[in-house]
Amino acid sequence: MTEFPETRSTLLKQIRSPVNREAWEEFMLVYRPVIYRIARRRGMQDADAQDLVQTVLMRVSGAIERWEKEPGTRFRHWLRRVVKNAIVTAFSRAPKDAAAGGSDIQNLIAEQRDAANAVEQELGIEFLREQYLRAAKRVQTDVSEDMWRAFELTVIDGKPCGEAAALIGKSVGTVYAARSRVMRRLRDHVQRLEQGGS
Amino acid sequence: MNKKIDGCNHQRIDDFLNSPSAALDDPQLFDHLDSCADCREQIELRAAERECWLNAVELLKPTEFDHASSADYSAATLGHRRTSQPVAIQSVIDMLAPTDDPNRIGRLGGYEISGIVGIGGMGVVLKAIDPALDRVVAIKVMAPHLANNATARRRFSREAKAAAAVLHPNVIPIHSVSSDAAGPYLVMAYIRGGSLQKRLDREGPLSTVEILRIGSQVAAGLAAAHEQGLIHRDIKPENILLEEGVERVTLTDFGLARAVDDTSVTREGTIAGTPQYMSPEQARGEPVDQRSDLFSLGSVLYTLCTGRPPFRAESSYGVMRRISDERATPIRELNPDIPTWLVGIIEKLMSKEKDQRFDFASEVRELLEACLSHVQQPTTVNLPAQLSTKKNRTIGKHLFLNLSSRSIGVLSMLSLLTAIVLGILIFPGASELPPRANDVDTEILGHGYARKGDFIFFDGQRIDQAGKNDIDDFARFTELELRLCADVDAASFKALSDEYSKDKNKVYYKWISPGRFWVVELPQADVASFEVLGFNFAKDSKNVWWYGRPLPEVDPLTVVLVNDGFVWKDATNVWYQHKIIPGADAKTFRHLEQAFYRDANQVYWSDSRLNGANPDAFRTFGDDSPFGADRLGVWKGTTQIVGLDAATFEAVHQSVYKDKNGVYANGHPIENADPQTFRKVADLDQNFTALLADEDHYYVFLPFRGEIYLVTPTTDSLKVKRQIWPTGTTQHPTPKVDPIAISTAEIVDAGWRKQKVISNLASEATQLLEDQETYLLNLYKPQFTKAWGLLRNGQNQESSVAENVSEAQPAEENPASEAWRTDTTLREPSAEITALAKALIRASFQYDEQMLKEIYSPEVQLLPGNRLFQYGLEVPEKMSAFGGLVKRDNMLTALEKQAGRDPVPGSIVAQIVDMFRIEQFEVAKGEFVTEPNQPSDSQYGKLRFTIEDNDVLLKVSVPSAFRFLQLRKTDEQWKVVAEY
Repeated sequence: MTEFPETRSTLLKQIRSPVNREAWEEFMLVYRPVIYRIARRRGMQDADAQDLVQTVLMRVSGAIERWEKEPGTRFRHWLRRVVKNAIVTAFSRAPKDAAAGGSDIQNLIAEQRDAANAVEQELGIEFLREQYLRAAKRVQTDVSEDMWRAFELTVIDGKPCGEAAALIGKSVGTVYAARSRVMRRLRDHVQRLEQGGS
Repeated sequence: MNKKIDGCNHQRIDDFLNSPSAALDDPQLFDHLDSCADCREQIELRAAERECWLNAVELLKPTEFDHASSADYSAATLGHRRTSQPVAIQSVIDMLAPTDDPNRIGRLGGYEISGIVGIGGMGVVLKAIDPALDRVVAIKVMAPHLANNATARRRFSREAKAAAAVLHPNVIPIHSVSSDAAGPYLVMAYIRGGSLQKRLDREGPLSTVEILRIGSQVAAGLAAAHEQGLIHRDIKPENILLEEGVERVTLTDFGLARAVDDTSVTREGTIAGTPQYMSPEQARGEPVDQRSDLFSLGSVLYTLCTGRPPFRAESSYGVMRRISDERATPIRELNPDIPTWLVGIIEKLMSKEKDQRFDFASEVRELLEACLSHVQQPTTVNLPAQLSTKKNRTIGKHLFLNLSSRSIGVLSMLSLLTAIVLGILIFPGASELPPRANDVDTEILGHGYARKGDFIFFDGQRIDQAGKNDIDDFARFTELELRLCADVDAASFKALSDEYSKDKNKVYYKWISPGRFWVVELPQADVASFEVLGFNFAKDSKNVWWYGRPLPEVDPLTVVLVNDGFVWKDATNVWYQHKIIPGADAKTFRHLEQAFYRDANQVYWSDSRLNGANPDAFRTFGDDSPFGADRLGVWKGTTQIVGLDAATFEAVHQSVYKDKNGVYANGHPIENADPQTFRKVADLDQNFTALLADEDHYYVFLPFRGEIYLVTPTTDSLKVKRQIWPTGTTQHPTPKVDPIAISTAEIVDAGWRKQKVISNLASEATQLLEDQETYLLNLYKPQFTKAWGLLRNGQNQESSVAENVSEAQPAEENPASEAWRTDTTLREPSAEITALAKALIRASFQYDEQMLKEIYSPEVQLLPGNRLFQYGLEVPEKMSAFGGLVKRDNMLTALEKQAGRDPVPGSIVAQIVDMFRIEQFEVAKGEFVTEPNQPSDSQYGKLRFTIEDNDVLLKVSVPSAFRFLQLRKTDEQWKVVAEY
């Protein structure tokens, strides 16, 4: 099964070769939404968030060329670190040089550490979210529409199974069975995505 | 394969799950699942681990940004994802009936809706006026997408009924439960103030007294609810409201509350609400009773002690696993100020096993109340017996020996004794209470410092005592050698800035972290020559200091600040904070605007050169605009924008700019806009939404992603239209791509109508654009309505566009008086006084030295906190709560600096001055003291003026700021004798 855009070593080699546009595009597909959402959550406007995505990916692509695979270092972990550093750098380079005034001074060091930790955490969540979203999109095309609706209505929209059953015109038992099969496939796809990074 | 099954068959379940088929192909299994609860659980467990289910619930939900992105970040976005929260709010607003009152957003039942308070688990909370009783109420409306759901409706009404049955001062009062076409709603008391969460965010950990006060009231509210058989199930800081000005705590949002005996709502496999304060049994999905709320109460108290929730993890699942398996970091490791007996109470509340907790909330309330009396009067009231002595074995056992085995070691006899001693140490007798600003023998030294006797205080604590416990931890954390100040000579102590201070022997630096501070010594600093130059920036004869540390490479003799906080230089080098800007010419280096700098040869943005920019021809466009241009090039930050005519380039507003060939928004040309006359007319809110215009048209700019609408007023509507461009393209100087769609709509009194998106795209893509457009138009409805109002008025009066500027300011929207609940009377002053106040405002904006000298008395009483102290004016030697006398001529430099900080263009100064509201207080001779929280941001709480016969006290305000001016007539001339 190779239909997933993995960030595994083979792909890395492809990225290193600048001619392989396709592989690079795949890589960006995974990381662009992740970085974008983090930037938006931190109060950036759409245009600025997009700029930041560009900046970070440029930095990462630059770093990838320098990267030597260290034994025991997983690419995904390494990449997270690079992405994190790039984001922290991007945020500490505030667009406007205006001195903060007043008495509400946080101490500099604590602020930087907190920022780094927060980014790290968000990155973890957003990365996982992206994996789930990509896997879900894949599963959605693999199963019948009713099966997907059963999963979507009850798990994503949080509706009770009885109500979902009425909406799609199936029995409650069918809804339970359908959403479980979707969940199983979702889990399998997510696991495959995860292993792709080792 | 479709064998009939009578009993439970797990193999069959596995086969079904593993089947690669896309179809639902085992009807017998489905029939069996219809009735067998056990197999339902089995199939879910076998399909995927609980973690995966929880992740799916948490992660596949639409995020708030799904609608906000212009770029195609939706590669992984699922179909049918259209109920993000803003949409939910919007749809609630949409269903409101129209109202006549322009300040309201709609009407529901008999209530006039004036705003949105927040979003709860099941609906939206609105702020409203009850016109019949003229009181403010909060209305909880069920989210429309839930209102169609019978179960949700049932849960909602049950919440209403359950909560209405609880009558207690610490539980939010429910006025009524109603329903109309839009769905059911609940009318509650409106609590002015904020949630406990907001306070935590603002202040960090609370003091022991506050923790006990809040904890006992929450326990009291819970006790009342439990008595009615009601479990809250969602106790968390967001659901605990603190009423403004009163020491009352109100428990709200029984969103998940359910009667103990009502189990009809089965688990649906989803987590409801924040898991951080859940009990272990909730996290495991087991049945709960009132002791579950007690665990949550314990977690809330833990958070109040330490400033952070006890169990944190990356995902909801992680949090829940920790709640059920792990022990929270001991409180005293995070905050050693918390007495051990309080830690004991919290640990007991947070026992993993529910029968090791307290049995009843009423017990907890009594205990916390007793502790509170002890802490407030330690000499007359003892700690509750079960806490302070082990003699009473039965109670002692009841409280402590039931703690989980891990805690028993911690709470040895010895630590019990320590607890008592600590309790006494932390809460000294009344004679040693921290001084308040109005104590007669307290001298205010500025920057928050005060002198009382031989000691210096900051924020109510002695600076040589505060943070004594954890200075070593803090030093380790910063990796610096820090020594808390000692032997401070109070008589010669001087506050130099918020951070730096000195006495005759030593220089001090204050580190601040939320809720705490440490004043440390700077042994390397030279006392005699030490002076503060800017924000956190100082120098002495040997060193330049930044954030309490020397910058060894910078020459203190020649150092000059270039842009406070960022850039400084000495005779040879220019620094961007710690880094030398390579090649910069120190002699000629100076700050332009925003992050632009120049020297004789180069232009810079932050620490980078703008290659090719000519410093002598370089123009910038205000402090908010990142654009700069010379005759040949245009830059946004360090990025050069190609294809524009640089010589005629001008930034208009945010991402809107123009050159002689056209006007551009986000890089796309604005159709038919005339660059010659194109300009900004007015702000439509405080977040960059603006009304723009050229000679013939008006435009509305949205900051969402830089959209620009052509707006045309008609007699009864405002027509809006915009071109939608493909993303990622810019086009200078001539268009290379065409818009992908045209969006049109019309706003009338009742809201939007005739919305339309015309496009050649596939119908699905057009549908998506339509959805996004609807979202956007509804989101900015108030701003469009405001633009319409402006244009309507403008037409009637046939006034020029520019005259609308002052009307467009949001002066009326958020009247300053809201924050001012006061008993004092304000009235309009005489024309003479008004004119004088206006002259003073104008002179301050433009630094008219002659005028300032005329209006200020030769000596002016400046009150503590006066803004001029922020502009380098030295705090006078003698300063009390009444302020200190300052020579007018000494004020001039600070006034000049202030005027320079925010220069107002001469052409609009009159309009700005007119925006100020000038009011006169009714004051009698004697001492006039403002109410607490007036001004709310003064750290002195109350301001004091000494009023003589015929004095006039004025309040001069705009929504975001105000001043007090005291005027006195001498020699037939009104002069300012005091001000805040």
